[in-house]
Amino acid sequence: MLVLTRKTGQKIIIANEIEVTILETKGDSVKIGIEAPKQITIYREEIFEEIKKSNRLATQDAETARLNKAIEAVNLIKTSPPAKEG
Amino acid sequence: MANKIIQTARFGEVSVDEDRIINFIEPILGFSDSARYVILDHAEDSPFKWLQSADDPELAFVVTNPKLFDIDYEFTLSDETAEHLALHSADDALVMTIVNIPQEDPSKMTTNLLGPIVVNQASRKALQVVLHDSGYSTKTRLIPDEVLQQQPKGASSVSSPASADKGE
Repeated sequence: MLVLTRKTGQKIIIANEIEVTILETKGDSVKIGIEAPKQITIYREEIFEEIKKSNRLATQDAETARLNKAIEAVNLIKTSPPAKEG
Repeated sequence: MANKIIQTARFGEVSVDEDRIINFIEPILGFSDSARYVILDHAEDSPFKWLQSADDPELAFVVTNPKLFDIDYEFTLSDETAEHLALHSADDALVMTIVNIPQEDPSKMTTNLLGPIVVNQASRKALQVVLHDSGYSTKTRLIPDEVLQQQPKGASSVSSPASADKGE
């Protein structure tokens, strides 16, 4: 891993087209500004991992039989009028 | 108009109009081998559709429109994302969210509001957008517990006698 020390306001340039600026440091957090071409997507790592995991689980979950059961549950909601008890 | 045969694990061979193939400009996160998908209907009146990969027969997602479940769902795409999708009018955008259906209890299905799929219907470019700082979750229940609990016992026998066994 390349390790660089920067001061607030200083930048690093990646591959001639991505600019990373250290905007502010406060306690143990660092505010970073990133300027990159629009086709480059930037994620917070934990969100990236969470969505990946959710996607992976979703395709395992995508069974026709299970979906049919889910639809039964939906239809049940639709056919029974809400808030009518006794 | 050319038709294309797509091999699928769940539905066998499916013939679709080439115009219906959507192209992910970046892969759905975790599935970098698949860029082309088709949206297949599940059943008439079903709130769900299938997002089936045209590159991998095994790969498919159940998707929905959260608004069909009365979920308040709105977001603004960043200019960069809209430009990336070549999306110039909100009318061209088709938004769907991926559904997770737990095996133990399918009625407790959830959907991922944090990472919706946005399709530009004009260009058929698509992207899983990550809504940083939106407060949306990857696991929003489609039918909340309160609503599920409102179901009187035996209601299922009224609406669908053939499939009343819910398999506790």
